[in-house]
Amino acid sequence: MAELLVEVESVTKTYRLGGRLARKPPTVAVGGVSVAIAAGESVGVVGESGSGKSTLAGIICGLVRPDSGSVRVAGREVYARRGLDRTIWRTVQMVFQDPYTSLNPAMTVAEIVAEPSRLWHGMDRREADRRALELLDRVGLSAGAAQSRPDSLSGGQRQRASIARALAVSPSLVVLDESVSALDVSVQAQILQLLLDLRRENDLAYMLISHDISVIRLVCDRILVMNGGEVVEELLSAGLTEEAARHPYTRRLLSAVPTMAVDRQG
Amino acid sequence: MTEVVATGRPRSTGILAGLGVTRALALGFVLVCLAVAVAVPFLPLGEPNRQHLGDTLASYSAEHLLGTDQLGRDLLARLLWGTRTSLFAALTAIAVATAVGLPFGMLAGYRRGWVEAATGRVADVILTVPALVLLLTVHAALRSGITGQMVTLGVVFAPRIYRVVRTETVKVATLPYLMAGRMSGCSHTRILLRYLLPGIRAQSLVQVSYLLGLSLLIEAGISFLGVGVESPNASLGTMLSGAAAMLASAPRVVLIPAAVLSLLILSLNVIGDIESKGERRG
Ligand SMILES: Nc1ncnc2c1ncn2[C@@H]1O[C@H](COP(=O)(O)OP(=O)(O)OP(=O)(O)O)[C@@H](O)[C@H]1O
Ligand SMILES: [Mg+2]
Repeated sequence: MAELLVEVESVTKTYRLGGRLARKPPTVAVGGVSVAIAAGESVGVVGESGSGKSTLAGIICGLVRPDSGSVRVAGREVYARRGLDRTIWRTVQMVFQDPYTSLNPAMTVAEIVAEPSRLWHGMDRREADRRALELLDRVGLSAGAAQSRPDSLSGGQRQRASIARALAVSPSLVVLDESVSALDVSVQAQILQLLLDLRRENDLAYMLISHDISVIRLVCDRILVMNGGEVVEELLSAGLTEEAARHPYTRRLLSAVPTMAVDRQG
Repeated sequence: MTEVVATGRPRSTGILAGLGVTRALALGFVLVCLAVAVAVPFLPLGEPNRQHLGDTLASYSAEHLLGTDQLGRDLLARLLWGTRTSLFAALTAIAVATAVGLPFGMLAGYRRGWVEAATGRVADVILTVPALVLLLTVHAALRSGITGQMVTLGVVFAPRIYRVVRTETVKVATLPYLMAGRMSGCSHTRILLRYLLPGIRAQSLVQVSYLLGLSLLIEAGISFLGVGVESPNASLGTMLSGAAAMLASAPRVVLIPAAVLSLLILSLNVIGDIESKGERRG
């Protein structure tokens, strides 16, 4: 197996709504999950709403400090005793679930996508802009869309802009939280093809969160099934059939799966 | 590839979009007053403090377009200089209030924790001080003139800007695009300036606009009481106090500055209203 990119060891995250004195029992968003992702690997996460997928993604990306457990990215502890190791964002990037709140409304799409090149890679403005346009072109956004602000774009266009932003960092792992499910089928196929291409070109690893197991089977080597904050089942996507799954939720997911035509070999 | 244009949440492209007649007038009036305030020294006006004692309370004439006041001073010259003095005084207060309230409000809303607790406590304390009493005390103790009074007022107003800014910052700070910005490599400073500031601008301007109106009113009030702009210098406040007794005999001398003052305050409130409606998030 290749070198481990991400090592998550029994992380737990509990939310207490309404403060410590509230009567409601605390929500265990993620309870004792361990995950390892190797360089260039592609891991899918499925699970019903509220099963802790986004929380786990946030923990891996240095955005949600777990109550206990440890997260190492490229061998470095993400949540050190105080503060956070900012440099993990050179390695790990995230595309957020809600396209309407994940882009700065005060900047143009091109500016948003150029920012990582300038801030992480020290490119000058012209070089960064050129690269931003290139990336936006690869996700299928026109030069016109690049010059507009997120407010004038559709949800799907915004989602693609967010993907371009994450890719601009040239990370080793991109976590995509429901980032393709909302797109039209043709756009979805284009984005998935792009992810597969980039994976081959740059040895990029993915963690793909989705309700849609057909998408995940297409792109991912391995599938984690989450339920109630825990990983209840782990499957290989090659040759996956309904019978292979033990957990009822997984069986239900697998029972009605349309297939999609994307050329995995490129 | 089809480029579908977003249908959700239509958004005005600026303050002027969807502006009604009232609001256009309000904005126009404030802008004209500001332009006049800046341009007064270059206008062909008489000396505003010069008394024409043989010509008191004169009516409209070619020489004195708005007539003269009870001391024979050109009313138009005094009105324009007075507007300048009043607006600049109010702007001083707002500048101080914003310079203090905005950065602390943003920091408190962004960092939370002890920063918010400490600055919030200071703001609470300042808010308990009655503005007028403080202004009278500062006048009695320091005699620092209208500028001193307006700086004091700015300090009194700072907590109000602080609170609005903090509340708005807290709202914006939880949005994922800030995290996306951090992941793009933005420092906290860059996040504050390029991500948060644009997001809180609209609501903060509403408060600023409202406080500007209130500052004008307070300038008029303290100048009327003789603890603001000192006569014979013209401000909207001193013009009212000097002419208050003339209300029956020559109402024009009182009503003209009173009208300008009221319209300015009204306009500023109307403008604040648009900004809050135009930018309210869905
Ligand atoms: N910031 C938060 N504050 C309080 N509770 C939270 C917070 N974030 C998540 N939760 C709770 O933790 C649980 C897991 O949430 P999470 O968003 O990780 O689920 P998810 O699997 O991503 O769901 P979805 O498919 O709907 O996106 C939910 O019960 C949710 O209500
Ligand atoms: Mg989620």
